[in-house]
Amino acid sequence: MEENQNLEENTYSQEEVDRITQESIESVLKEVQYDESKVQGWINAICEKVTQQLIELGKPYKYIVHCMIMQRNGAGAFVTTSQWWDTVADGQIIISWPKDKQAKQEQQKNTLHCICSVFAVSMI
Amino acid sequence: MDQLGNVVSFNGPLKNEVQKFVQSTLQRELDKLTYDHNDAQVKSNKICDSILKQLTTHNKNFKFIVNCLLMQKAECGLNISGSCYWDNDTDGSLTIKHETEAIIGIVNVFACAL
Repeated sequence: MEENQNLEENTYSQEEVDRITQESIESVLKEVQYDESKVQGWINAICEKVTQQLIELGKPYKYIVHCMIMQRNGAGAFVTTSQWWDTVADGQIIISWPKDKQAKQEQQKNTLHCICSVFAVSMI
Repeated sequence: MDQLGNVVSFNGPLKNEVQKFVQSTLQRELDKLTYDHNDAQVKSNKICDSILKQLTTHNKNFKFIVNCLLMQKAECGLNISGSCYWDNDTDGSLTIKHETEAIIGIVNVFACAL
């Protein structure tokens, strides 16, 4: 019983991190249009929100939050990541916002695209 | 180059060494290339893997994360930000941008000490 409890305390939860990141992006970027003067503020707010909530989880992990906001102009872009780490203990979440279904439902002319990656590196 | 295999802090000579080979990798892969949507995925994977391989042969005291963005050069705004919760003495990051006529390539390297 104790061993299981220890395991739970020391591994991070993929769903929890996913939820935190989604909520943070939604709260900052909902119903905004791309504005050059405000983007810096949004991007810092997202990074800070996510990092703070991750630290509050209290797991023995180092976190890297990487956020990218791009104006939607029809330009193509690709993002890839490679990692050299412990595949059992470490993990990543990459969220692309908005999802196309979401954009169609809200009938919003989305003028920006946000890609947020969270990497969790175990300390033990 | 061999003495860098034993360092435990990313900030310092190791960072300079990494900067050099990331820059040369980007230059080699992106110069004289036009943006092709089908090819870009393969290209960015190749860049990531090549940099990661070189990193791990240099030093095994770190966990590495390599992030590569390839973007078509167009009239659009782009903002990137990173926030890290780690040990400032031993861990570190590097961001390299390489611009050609048709493509913008941005590589981030994050190193977490073991």
